[in-house]
Amino acid sequence: MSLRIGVQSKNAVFDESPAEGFALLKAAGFDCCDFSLNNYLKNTDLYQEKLNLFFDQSVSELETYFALHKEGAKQAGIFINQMHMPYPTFVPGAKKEVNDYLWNEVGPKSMEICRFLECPNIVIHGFKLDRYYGSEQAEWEKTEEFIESLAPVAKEYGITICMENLWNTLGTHKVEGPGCNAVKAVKRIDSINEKYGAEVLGFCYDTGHGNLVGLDPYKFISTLGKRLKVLHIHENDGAEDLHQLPYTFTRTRENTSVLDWDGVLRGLKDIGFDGVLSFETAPVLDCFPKELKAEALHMIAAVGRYFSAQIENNR
Amino acid sequence: MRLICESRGIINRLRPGGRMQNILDSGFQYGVLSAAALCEPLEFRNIKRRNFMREYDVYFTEHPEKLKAEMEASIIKNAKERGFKLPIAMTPLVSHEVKDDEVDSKVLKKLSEESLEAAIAADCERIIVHPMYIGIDSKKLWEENKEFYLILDRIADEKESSIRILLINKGKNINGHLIRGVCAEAEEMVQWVDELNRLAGKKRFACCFDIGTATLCGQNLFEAMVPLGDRLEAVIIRDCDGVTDVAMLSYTACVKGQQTDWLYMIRALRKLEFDGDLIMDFSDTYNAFPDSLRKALLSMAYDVGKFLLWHIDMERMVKSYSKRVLFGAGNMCRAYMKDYGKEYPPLYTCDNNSARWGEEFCGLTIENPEKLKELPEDVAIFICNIYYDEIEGQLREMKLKNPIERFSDEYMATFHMERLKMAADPNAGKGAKA
Repeated sequence: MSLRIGVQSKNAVFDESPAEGFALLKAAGFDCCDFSLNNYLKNTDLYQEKLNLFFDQSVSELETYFALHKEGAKQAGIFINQMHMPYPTFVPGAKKEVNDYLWNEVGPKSMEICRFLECPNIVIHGFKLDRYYGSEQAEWEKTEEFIESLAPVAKEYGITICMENLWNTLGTHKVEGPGCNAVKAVKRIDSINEKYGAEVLGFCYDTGHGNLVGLDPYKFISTLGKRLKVLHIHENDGAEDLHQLPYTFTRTRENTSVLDWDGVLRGLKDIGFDGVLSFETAPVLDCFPKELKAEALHMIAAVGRYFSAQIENNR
Repeated sequence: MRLICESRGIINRLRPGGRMQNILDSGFQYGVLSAAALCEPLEFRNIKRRNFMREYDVYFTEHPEKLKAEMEASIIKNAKERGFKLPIAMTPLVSHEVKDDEVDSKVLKKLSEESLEAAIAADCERIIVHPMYIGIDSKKLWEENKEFYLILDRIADEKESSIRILLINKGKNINGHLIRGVCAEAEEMVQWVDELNRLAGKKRFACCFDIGTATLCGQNLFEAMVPLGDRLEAVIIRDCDGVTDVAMLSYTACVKGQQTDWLYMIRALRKLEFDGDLIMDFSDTYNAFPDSLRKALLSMAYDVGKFLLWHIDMERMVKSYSKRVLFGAGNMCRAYMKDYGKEYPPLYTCDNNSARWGEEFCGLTIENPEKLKELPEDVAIFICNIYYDEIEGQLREMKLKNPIERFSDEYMATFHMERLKMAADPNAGKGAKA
């Protein structure tokens, strides 16, 4: 049985006509969608402490807003497997009202939208505070507080909150950010899930972020095991977070990819991954002319099918 | 803590004495007995290329059995003649650019054994031994390395040597991009070292941490080093741009800001109360400099090393005095009080600005510096002001016999000033000020 294949809704599904976008994804060969809720409150704005009014809407208004999306996905036969909560959910040094809004409005309302869209997984970003606090543990404790504020709702709705491996910038290169230690992630996920008696916390492995900070994908995925719930599949040059197609970037005359895809696929096979091969490759659709958007999506789906075959055939 | 110069890339294989003397003249007393000074990181590759220009009669990747004798005849002999101390050795380094099929692991193991024997002959206290990984299946890495390291342990036993064998963090080349390899993650390093010591039945094995490799692999230096605990006995300090595997002098890879996380490195070494070997590796910077400027570069490297020692030792210095006063009532005083004020409280602070005498600042009374003359001689004076030379001169003129130390807030355990509020409450940043 082949694994399901998904892609971001960003750059493909638009509010004016969501059904058209979901149909485009289906025609390209996708089964699932990673709903880009983060598109409604952008990180670039948040870092400037700019809030828009989107999440001021009541839950009922938000449900009305997304009713067409829900219907469009169903009509097209696309399952919304995962969504991305707006991030960051904590802006270091921002006004109290900004962080309070993110914590008390955006977080809980994202969970409500997730429930409404019948989506089982929501990806969050851990807080980037270690340089201020002096340790990653202290940073995690703040993130944990946020996760725990959502955990009861997650349990009630059957949603898994997924923490993701992130990066920080140092000079011009990337260094590890929250979620880059698989051993710690395992302990933290198990501890929270035990506390709530449900899978309220899981992991989203981001292949591109892992590549930027030198994670060994095989080791990381193998360590996570069944706690790995969702994926952000994409590639980069090892230097910038480019979110491009797998097998794109090379640094040697052999012209082979700088991302260890063999390690990714072996890891997924070894842990018996049965989730969605979800691509976080919306920038690919920015890259290609709009006339080639459908073909670009076909190509992404083709890579997904190849991945699925590699994982399944070797099992 | 010892400040050590990595000789690879500096000492000339044919005439090692001259460059060694230059290192000594710059201020360094210690060097690494580096096998890579004789067996270069790219030799495995170059020797197989048909167009390789042969410069030497003997290549050690072809004749590994000759390495020890050559290390003794060139590096060790010259070091003894000059009084250049070699407390730590290192096995040959194979460049990440060399491909699996270009390396013969039997040769590499023999080169490591020869390096160990040379290190024992030179009375080195430690040797950094690169793990075997080239051409080895990732699932067999531990078994292969266990066997390899235990052979080295037996060699040391046979020679009745107590030399410590240090494992080192490695990268893994994925088509030109480095990711974390053998012993790069602290959990794995700790597991390997502890298990090897258990099998050896003694504390034979410990860790060396290469800052450059960790930077290239995007690691958080604090989180990668602290779990090593007292197993960490040596640190290789080298700068790079985070992309290319080179050894640059610290603070020189300034491509739109620093690329190496010196703050986290210093925080980690302070937390560990590190007292091992600090190895300065800047061979690529050295080789890029014109020959006539290299002596000046060596002196600069020595000064940078002393600067790092000063900062790493800052917390140990603070703890080493039972009583202290501060000199300076500004930001540096505030930073001291934030991180150390509770545990190591000063009696008071003083300042040359008479308008502030008697004022309370961060819980301290600001006094006239003349009051320092009343201090018992064992009370240390910490200068908390960047005008160190001027203030120290002033204190010397006052004929004070108290210890005088230079404090710095450049690398603190947590951030201060505006960020100080955030450490207590992350919501208290700009919002609190507005």
